[in-house]
Amino acid sequence: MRGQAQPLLHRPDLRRRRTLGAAMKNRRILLQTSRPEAWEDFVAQLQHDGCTVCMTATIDQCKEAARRDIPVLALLDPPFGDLARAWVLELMMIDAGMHTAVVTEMDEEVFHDVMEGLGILMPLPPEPGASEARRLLGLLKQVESLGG
Amino acid sequence: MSKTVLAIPSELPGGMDAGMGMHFGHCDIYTVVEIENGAVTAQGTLPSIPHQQGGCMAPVQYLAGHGVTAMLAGGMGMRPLMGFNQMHIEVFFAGNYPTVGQAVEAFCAGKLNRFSTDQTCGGGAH
Repeated sequence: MRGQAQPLLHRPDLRRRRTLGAAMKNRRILLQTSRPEAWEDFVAQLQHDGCTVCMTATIDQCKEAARRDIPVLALLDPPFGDLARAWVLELMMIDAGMHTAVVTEMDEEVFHDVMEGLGILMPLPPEPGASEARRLLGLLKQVESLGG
Repeated sequence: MSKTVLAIPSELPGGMDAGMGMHFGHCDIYTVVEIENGAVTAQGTLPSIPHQQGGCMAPVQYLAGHGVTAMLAGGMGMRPLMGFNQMHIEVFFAGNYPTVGQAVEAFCAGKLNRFSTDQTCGGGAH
């Protein structure tokens, strides 16, 4: 190595403040589903806990809504499980700071393997209820408390 | 003068002689070096931060907050790679260098390639 190494840290000139989008600051949640009736209890719990839930029927509408205003969390309910990874990636390309949760019937271990690297908060069952909403918000708070 | 602040996931205790931490999100510590005109002008370490499922962006935000402008990595998920890209922090693949010093030397010599999406962990390939 060339050059004389000097202590690097604690130099304010090297510190920059950047964050991705507005995702970390709000409680706006996007829900993509073509089965709104299956989400009634789940959505009611999110709203009870102070979240604003915006529902879209398709992934294209979901992406358009995300581009307009980055949500803290996007919930995806794809018609086929093998679409999930691609759909999450499409949202990540808009803003990787957006958290996601995905409806799946996959075993949790298989789901983790298939979706590895995407940082999905949790898989959701096809008919998520209030308890899943509470668990999801708890995970979201934990992740945010760690700066993610 | 162009200055690069380079972060390298490392094994303990960090520094040029330390082994590379092969997954940035689960590394022991970060070695951070400042490079000007192809030469290391400063170095130090940053503690790593806890990792939690869904919390891939925490280390990205953390390193950005410490002024990091480029990153060397042996393993990384798609979401943090996208996060680094969106924050204009360049990520280079250095998974074939055993020590931090060797990886930094390769970076200074312009031998490293950009970390591609094909190299990310995921989809059952890791």
